Amino acid sequence: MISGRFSTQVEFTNVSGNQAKSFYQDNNEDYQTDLNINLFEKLSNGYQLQSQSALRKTDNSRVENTRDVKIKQFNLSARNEDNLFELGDFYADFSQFVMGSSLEGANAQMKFSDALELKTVAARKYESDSAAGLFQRDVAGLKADNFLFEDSDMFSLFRLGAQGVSVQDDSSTIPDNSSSVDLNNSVYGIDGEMRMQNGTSLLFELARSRYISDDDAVSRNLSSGMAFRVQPGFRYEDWFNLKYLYYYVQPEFYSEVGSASSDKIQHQVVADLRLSEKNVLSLTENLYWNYLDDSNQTKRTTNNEQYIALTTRPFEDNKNFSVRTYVNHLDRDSDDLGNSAEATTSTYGLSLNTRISEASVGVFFEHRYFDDKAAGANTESFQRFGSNFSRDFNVFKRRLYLAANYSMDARDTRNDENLSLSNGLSVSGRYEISDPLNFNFGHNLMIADNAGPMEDYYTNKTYGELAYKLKGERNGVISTRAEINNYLYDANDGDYQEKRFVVKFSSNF
Amino acid sequence: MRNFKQNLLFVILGIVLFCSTVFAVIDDQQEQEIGKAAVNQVFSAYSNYSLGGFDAVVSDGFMPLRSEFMNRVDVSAINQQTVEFNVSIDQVLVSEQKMSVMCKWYKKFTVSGIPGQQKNQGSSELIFKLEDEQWKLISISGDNPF
Repeated sequence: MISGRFSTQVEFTNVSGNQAKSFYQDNNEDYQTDLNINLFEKLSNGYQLQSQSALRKTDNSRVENTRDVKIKQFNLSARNEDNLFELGDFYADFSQFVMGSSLEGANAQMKFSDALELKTVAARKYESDSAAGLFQRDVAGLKADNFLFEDSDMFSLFRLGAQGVSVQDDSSTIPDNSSSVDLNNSVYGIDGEMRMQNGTSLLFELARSRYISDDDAVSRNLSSGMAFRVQPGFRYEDWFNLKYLYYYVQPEFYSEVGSASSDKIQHQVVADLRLSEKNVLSLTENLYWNYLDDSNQTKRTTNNEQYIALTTRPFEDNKNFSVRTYVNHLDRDSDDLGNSAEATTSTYGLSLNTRISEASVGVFFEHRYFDDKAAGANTESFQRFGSNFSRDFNVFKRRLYLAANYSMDARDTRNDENLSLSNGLSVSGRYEISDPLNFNFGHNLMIADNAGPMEDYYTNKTYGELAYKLKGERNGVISTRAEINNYLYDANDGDYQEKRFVVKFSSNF
Repeated sequence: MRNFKQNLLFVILGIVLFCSTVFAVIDDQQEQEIGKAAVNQVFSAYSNYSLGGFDAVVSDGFMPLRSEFMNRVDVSAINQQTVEFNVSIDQVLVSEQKMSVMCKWYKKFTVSGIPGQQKNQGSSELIFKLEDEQWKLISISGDNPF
């Protein structure tokens, strides 16, 4: 089966005033055509063949830097319940320290038995780019997962995994180039996940990295580091969930396609308690610091954070009514008094959401106090208030959907007696004029009255869009959209105005 | 690789057009829309920042360290006022309960203490995880939009 979507649009932009402040160009016309093609076919042995591709052609330099047809996405896969074979663009997901990244190449996942699964990857992170001086970055990886105690009364899951990834730049992809760096990084490790029937769980990962920032450099600096995380937990039905995380990553640990915060130790405790059917309490303690052995930092900074949140749904007959209150307190401590980062940040907030009649309504308030212990002049308090409203109306027997948001920020800094105040209001909606014809509209207003000189601004943005749905089953739509955006800044030569007009056609096939 | 992908695309088109059995229709346009909505939700939560609001769009399992990321965003959102955040989606890849969205972003903002509007743009990969029927941010790499 072949299906997909085709869309094409022409955009006219006009910018007056300080054009350098806009992303649009004055008196400009850009086109953009997108084509998505999906293929699906059932094969033998329970396999399904799927392909997704997305092509784009545009002369809009904001969207693409060249005008040729771009294959934005291509994926071809054959899969059944046990196996997956994939070519093209895919998301490679190993363990946290080792790999979690979108790649381009080949990916295979094979289940050999109930106890053994393998994942292999041979791909690249990106192709070479001589203009940017980047060699092609190749990625090869293997992960094996062993599932034990399948029929055990004690464990619901017992998985042990081992994985390794090698990331290497291919310097032959830009010949005669001596200025580009030739990265070489490998990460390998073990991980595991155990979940017991009684609610106890344990997750862990241990990884080691080897990293050379430039393999072609005269002095190749090889660094290697270790990373470790362990997270025991206990859950009692829906009433109680307790997790502790110990996280340790040495300064020289580096993972190009994985995820790690190097030079860090963290202890984290999270407890979620369902106090009753109506009240859920969440408690978090975070303690983390840097400046481990071989750190390149100049001082140790320790962060100690507590977070408490209570969510309440007090009314049996109105489940949409919810109140969430939270308190966050962060103490940052520094051991270098000459270059201190010592500060305390306290945040208190409350949000309320409900439905009144047929309208969805929400309000929130938040207070943040920042106490800069190192440089007291930066001490400040910050108040935020916001509200939102949305509802369907019936106007001339046609549906009108309206949504509105208002927000207000007030900032009071110790080193300035003036208050910084900003107000924002946005209204958007859709009116179904007739069955095939819709009118979408919106208006956004922002007024900032800041304490600093020449920092005030005012923005005023309006758009309207007519969308006409063509007859037939392909959901073809022709739309025209007009925008006028005014930006007025107190700063010299800060003002500009954008006008944008877009005609678009899209259809499924 | 691009030539390889182009050739492969045409070969697969040929194979599938040759096949006659029709089984179902998949809709990757839906994935594109879901990916765009997830990214817009994160950037909107940053533009209209509150700690509680941004907390709701970030997964508890954010990598590498959630608290470090949240505190960095909190400081950034205080010192910047976002005037506009626009996104152009390049690629959406869904794998089991995770979704990778490659995008270009265009940001207009003001910085406390500096008169006038600044602008910045970049490319990022945002990874989301499906939790309680909501896509929550679990990782971000590439250019820092915050």
